[in-house]
Amino acid sequence: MLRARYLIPLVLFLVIAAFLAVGLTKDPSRVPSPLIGKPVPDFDLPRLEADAGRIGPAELQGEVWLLNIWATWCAGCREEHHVLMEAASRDGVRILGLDYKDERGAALRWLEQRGDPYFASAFDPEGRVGIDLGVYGVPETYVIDAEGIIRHKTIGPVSMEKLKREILPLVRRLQRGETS
Amino acid sequence: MTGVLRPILAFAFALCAAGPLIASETIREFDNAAEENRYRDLLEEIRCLVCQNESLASSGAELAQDLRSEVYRLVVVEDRSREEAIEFLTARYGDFVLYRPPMQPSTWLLWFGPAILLVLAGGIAVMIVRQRTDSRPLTAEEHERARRLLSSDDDGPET
Repeated sequence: MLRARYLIPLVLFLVIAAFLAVGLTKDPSRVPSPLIGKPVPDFDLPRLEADAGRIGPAELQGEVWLLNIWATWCAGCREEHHVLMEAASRDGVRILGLDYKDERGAALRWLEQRGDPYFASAFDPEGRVGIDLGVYGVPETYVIDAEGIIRHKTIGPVSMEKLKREILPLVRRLQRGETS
Repeated sequence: MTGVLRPILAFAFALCAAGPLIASETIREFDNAAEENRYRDLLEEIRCLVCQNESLASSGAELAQDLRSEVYRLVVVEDRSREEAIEFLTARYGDFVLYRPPMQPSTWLLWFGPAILLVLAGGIAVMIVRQRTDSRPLTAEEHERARRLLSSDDDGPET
């Protein structure tokens, strides 16, 4: 009886420690997006190349594609650039780039010097479309299915591991028409 | 001494002087006090997702500036209600942007947890206090035992 009573603090400690340990493995800057499972917000933005017309999700109906929000001022974008290059060139993933709150000249130079993983680039200097997409930490990458529904969102740079383990398998599943 | 202090003071002064430059903020115009109140009230209610412990009103992040403009556009330019503005923001950023999360099954623990803990802790405290102040009179047997114990100890105080 007495023993059991002395065990209470230990049990309490272990329960609290377990909760804290789980908490430590989570990143508080990753907030779940309410947009997952919803249609991608429609937008119609000028292309990054001056006077090259406009681009928006409407043109991608029926395709599985990635939407990558990036900027030349963003360090994480530098980090994930080679991952996007590989996804586009080797795996043939269609990526629409959205240049967010950036300068046109700097962005064009970036793509010319480092390589251009995007089949098309949209230009959002004021970040208006960014707000509709709930962007708060550039880079962000969305997986969008053939019906235009957002299936997955990555906040922060896409690592090679994340691409191979999560994004590519999801893209392949969606391309086969599986919805889950 | 002054040789060491001077650059430090100069640096401190430079920091103070630079403050207003860093915090340059658009000056907003309002038609009436109600509009302004709605705007300011919302800024206090909304969390900046970049620096999560600051509200939109206090955050210096660029996204917070954009969202302040957005809130201004919603409640002042488009004259939308507070609820509509909150709906606009939660549809994009999720309930996490609200400092006061909505009441729903997933937040019940958050809302009622502290009260439940308080009641539990209070109950335990009452139990412990009751146990300690057990003032039941001793039975004759216990009296006898206590007397024997006390008298058997030669060094102890006399009763």
